[in-house]
Amino acid sequence: MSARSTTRALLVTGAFVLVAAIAAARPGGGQSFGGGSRSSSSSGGSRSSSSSSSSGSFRSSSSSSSSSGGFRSTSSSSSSSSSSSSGGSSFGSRTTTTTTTSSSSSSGGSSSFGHTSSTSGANGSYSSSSSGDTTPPPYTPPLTGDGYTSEGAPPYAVPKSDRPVTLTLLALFGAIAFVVLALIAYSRWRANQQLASWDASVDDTLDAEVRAKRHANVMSALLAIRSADDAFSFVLFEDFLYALYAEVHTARATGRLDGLSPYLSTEAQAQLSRLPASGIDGVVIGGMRIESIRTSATRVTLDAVFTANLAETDETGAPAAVYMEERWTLCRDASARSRPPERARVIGCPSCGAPLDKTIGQQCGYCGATSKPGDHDWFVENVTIVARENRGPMLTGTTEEVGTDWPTVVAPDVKKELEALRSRDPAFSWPAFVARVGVVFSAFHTSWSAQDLTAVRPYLSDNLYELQKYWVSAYLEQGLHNKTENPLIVTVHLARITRDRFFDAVTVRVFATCIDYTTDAKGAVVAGDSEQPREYSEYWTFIRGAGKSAAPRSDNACPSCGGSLAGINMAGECSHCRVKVTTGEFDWVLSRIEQDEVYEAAA
Amino acid sequence: MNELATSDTKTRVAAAITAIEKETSAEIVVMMRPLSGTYRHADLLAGAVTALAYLCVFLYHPEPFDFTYFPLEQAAVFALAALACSRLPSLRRALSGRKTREKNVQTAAKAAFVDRGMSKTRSRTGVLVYVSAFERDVAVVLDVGLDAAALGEPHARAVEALRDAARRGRRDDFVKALEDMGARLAEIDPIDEDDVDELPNEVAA
Repeated sequence: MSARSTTRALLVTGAFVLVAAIAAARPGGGQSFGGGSRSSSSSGGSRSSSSSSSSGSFRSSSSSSSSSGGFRSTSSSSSSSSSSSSGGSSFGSRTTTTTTTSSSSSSGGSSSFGHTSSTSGANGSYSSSSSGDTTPPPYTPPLTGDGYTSEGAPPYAVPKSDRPVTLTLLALFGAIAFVVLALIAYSRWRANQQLASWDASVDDTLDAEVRAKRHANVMSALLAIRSADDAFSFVLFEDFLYALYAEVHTARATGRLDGLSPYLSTEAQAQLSRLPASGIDGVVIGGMRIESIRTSATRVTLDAVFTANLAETDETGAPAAVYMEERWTLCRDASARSRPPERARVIGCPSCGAPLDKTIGQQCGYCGATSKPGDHDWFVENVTIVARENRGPMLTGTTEEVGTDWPTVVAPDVKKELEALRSRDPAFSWPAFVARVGVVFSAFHTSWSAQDLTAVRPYLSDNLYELQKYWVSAYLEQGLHNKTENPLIVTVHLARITRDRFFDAVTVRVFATCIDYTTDAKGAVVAGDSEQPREYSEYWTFIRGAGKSAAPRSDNACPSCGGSLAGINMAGECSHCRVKVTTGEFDWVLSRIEQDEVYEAAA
Repeated sequence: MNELATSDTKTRVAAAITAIEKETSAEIVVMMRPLSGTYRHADLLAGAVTALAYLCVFLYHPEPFDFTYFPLEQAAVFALAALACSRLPSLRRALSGRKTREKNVQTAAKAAFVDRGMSKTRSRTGVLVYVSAFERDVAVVLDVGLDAAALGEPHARAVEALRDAARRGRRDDFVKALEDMGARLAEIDPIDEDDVDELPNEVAA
């Protein structure tokens, strides 16, 4: 039963009670109910007595068909009494039936109740003698065999003094019902005026741009971006950011930052223009990390921190190596789609991909499109120079290994993803993959110790190769040599498997030992320990083109032509077939190395 | 009228939270709900008391009554009184125990904390301010990254002020108490330089 219908029912009920009270208050109400009433001395268990006191208190055991539930009603007409009795009988009010012929007042004289009044009715109506006796004679109603009077009229008159009690009760009940109903109606009205429930948080600010979705970590935020944009690939996104960074600093040195207006805000251009440089010969990106990601219904914003080594020339033309750390804030429309792999490193018109040489402001000189910042592609809103120094990173001193004894961070869905990978690539096997990890590990340490990345180049993605080149260059510039001897893999744990439209990525945790120390130009050990092996662990992420199906190779042969990879160039091209083998198109290549303390799986 | 149950209050509270979160790394959500538990026992109590009163009238009133249908009358009185109580928040509140109401609010607040995903913050610094309209009570749930002991007396006073404002349905007092709580959070858990509204962490390349 709804609240509305309940309230309505209560209102109707209360109305009936009030009507009954009003009807009972009408004078001369002496009609019987429906012409027949039944009277007995003890019907319904009510108290009855054949005598009445001089005060006129009513004691009668009459109950009529209309008085169900102990209801005795005083009515002036049968119709009204019937309706009121049926609706009001549950309240236990009393009614008295009177006969029009038995009114004590009709006898004239001192005809008050209980005194010398007589009735003209000869059917058992109340009568009294006129002898002056103050005690009214007992009343004995003449009953027929069936308990009904012969005329169907009630045999007694309702004393007038009982009416106020009945009316009072009815009025009281009616008033109570009315008050309760009124309170209920008021409560309902007040509840309708208010908000039943609400939530307030930063997410509820009116500005849609400010609303931000909280993610447990960056990885889960990246996965959320990918779920909205199936063309998004973090590998390609990294490639794009690296390319954009290099393009921006090259343009900065030649004063052509405005040509990158489709990607750089005026504020970012102003901040970069303040940096001194008359020429840049090379940009080596040492690292890029995503610091934060904010997603909303309309926008995705992220902060990326770059560390890089720039080979600049000053005003005199003298070369100067500059170490830079910058925080870039990039944004993109939530509905924008990521660029395909072949355009990942192309910094062209966000709309048509044409070169930016003819761009005027935000308008492309080829397609004429004027793109609003972030509509089609990532847009740099702000650049903050965190550090700019003329010296490279600190490479001496021993840093204690942290996190090796921590449990491996395993993605919750790694087993499911492994099965999915096996179903896509039946040739994949874990032992073969671990064997390839071993090949890469060995080549890595050989190259690192030799400060020559040729041996490991076939196994590194372009970005990771750039990173390693950065560090090797840093050591060389400072006249230092970091050596790793007797490298040995202890064990390999599977941590995470992800896939996007273009790449599969497998992340493993490599536990290893090696002797790790740094010497200066004179051969003196300036960092590490040349005697004791060091235990450590790192998370290595390998990528391969999505849809490829082949067993991981552990030989040193080109996956395209089978020739030796010994002559691979620094662009990652096989010296025999000139196929670029470092994109992951053919086999698993190492794309990222993360330390224990920074690695996180998706939440 | 409960001023907290209006859209104006929601807007003002959201603005206050935005200002607070610029100073602290805690992440605050204020949640208002109409009811935090079932109070059928209060309705039944009202019905029982009214039925008992009706019985007493029936028995002790000097005038006789016919009790042919008395059980039905009694049941009807019980049902109507219970129904009326369920529709009258003031009466229901009066007949339900204070401790019961407080316990219901605390339980509902902790459940809402989980349902809302308040623990999905980097430093586990979520704060849920749960307001229950019927009980006129507030419960504040802190995530494990916030030390309630360190927040101490000023925080407890702010929480008590929130509860008092909810009891009296005063919007201005509620927002003021929320700001006081935010100020204390800013003292104990100030915002980091790189703190933003999401959970950043490094993905080292």
